[in-house]
Amino acid sequence: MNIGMCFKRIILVFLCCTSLYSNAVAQSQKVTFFLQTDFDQLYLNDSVKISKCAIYLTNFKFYNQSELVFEDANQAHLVDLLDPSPIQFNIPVNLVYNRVVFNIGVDSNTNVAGILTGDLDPREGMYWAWQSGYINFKLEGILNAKVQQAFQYHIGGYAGKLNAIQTNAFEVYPNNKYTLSFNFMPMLQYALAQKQFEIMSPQLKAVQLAKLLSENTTCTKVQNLSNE
Amino acid sequence: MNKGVIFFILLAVFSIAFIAPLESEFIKPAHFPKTKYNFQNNPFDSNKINIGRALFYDPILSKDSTISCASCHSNYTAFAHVDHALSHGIADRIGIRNAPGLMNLAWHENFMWDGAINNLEVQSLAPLTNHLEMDENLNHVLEKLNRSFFYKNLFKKAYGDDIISTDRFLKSITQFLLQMVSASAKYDSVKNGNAIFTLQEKKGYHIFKKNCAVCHTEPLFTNLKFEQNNLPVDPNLNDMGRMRITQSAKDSICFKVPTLRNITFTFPYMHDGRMRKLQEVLHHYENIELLTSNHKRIKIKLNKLEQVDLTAFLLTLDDQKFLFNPTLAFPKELLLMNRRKNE
Repeated sequence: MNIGMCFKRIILVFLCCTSLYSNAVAQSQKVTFFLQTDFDQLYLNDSVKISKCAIYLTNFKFYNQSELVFEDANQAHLVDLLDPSPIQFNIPVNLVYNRVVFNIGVDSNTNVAGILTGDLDPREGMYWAWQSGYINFKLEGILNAKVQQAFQYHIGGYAGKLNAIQTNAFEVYPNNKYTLSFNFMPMLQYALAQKQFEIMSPQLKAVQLAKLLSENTTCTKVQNLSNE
Repeated sequence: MNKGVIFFILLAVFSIAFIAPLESEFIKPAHFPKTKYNFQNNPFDSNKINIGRALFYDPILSKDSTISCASCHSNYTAFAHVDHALSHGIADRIGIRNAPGLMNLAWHENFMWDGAINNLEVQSLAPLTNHLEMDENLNHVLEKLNRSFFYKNLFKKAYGDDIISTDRFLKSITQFLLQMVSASAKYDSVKNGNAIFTLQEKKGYHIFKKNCAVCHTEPLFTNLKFEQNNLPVDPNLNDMGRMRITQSAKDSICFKVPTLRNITFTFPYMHDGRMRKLQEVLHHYENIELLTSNHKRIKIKLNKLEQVDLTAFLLTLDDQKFLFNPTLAFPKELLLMNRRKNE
């Protein structure tokens, strides 16, 4: 085979690959999750001021009944809930699903995997160096009472009874947009009622607060928005 | 030349290339168990080991650039802080625990006296950020390193570009820590059939196997578990050991079993360095009943003669080759000569 022929074949294969790739991209559907909190309600009577709220949302998986059909390649999303960007997935258009499952927090395998990059880089400030492990979420602020009271909840822990990771599952369908609402009020009220103003390490109280956040997380379909 | 001969020569060359260990490949001592560290995620490279070595000895890692890892982990004393009960930090701050010797880390799954650290790659973050030790923060260290032409050149050589990221920084240190393999003591020579114990050492070995080996298991001389050894809690430190991490009562005053390798050089002993001499340690164990983490009740009784024989055996765990290994020592050429040229 002469060089010219070889070159033509390479070009042909390249064009075919490009075409296939373009089709694959074109044939994906986007599913978008907007993220919100209930802080507006907290601010109504000026009783609480939140200064920091960051959260790990990890291992998004889409299921059709019990069959796993799509898994997020990006293992972890670290979200600043005071200024959240939507989380978006490009899912192949032919896939059918009716449920999304994800974690609030970082799973134990990831916690023991050594040094990681991207959103899981310890530089992000969501990692305990003194006791290896990710902080699943942080909530910090000030309670405006007669005497101002600061509170800080750094909720994490991955081992045994101190495992604070929470799994949430919601009904979702292709070509829709959803709002994930993280309602911190019940968790905060519970902690403040017990005069628990600081949790900074893995402990049973942290697990309890994580459960309260998970139980008060909702997913609702966004209405009257055209799909992209 | 015949094509067949050429083919076989090429095959032989390729086989040697694949079978022969690379210069910087981790070589497990034959009598050691399987390692725990995941080498696939961090393949050895002599340039990366070099970076780790430079960082280990460089005070740039501490907040005021006064102490390095080696300040508390000297190579000549098996990377322990000899004669210092508790670790020392910047500005004369004193920590809460004894700086242990560093060796055979590839076989450990967790680190620190209470196992707070779950992977060797993230171990360095603990002393780096501890207020009583280096009192730095990761972002600032990376900023300092990224401003250093010396380190940028080293990282470029090792990683292809000069970006110093968290994972490159920590994985390089890890590669150097993994080089700290102590497996050349007289004990190891005996195990490999290249030496024999003296009569006294042999007696001491039997005493060791009978009384100590449950926790100080061969050949690492630690069972890598957390045990309590009936030491009273120091009221000033109030250190509850492993319980701080697991918050389980069963882990109260349990500490990670330290290796006995290079024991001559790693004094003072125990998690808080309360015992300055090996004799004190043996005295502590001369008539004691312990409950191990496996719920075994063991009784130890050691008379004075047995203690002498046991000491003779323990001295066979000293590894001079490890202590004076030039590849683990302060990298004079790298940190003093090359750095001056680069900065």
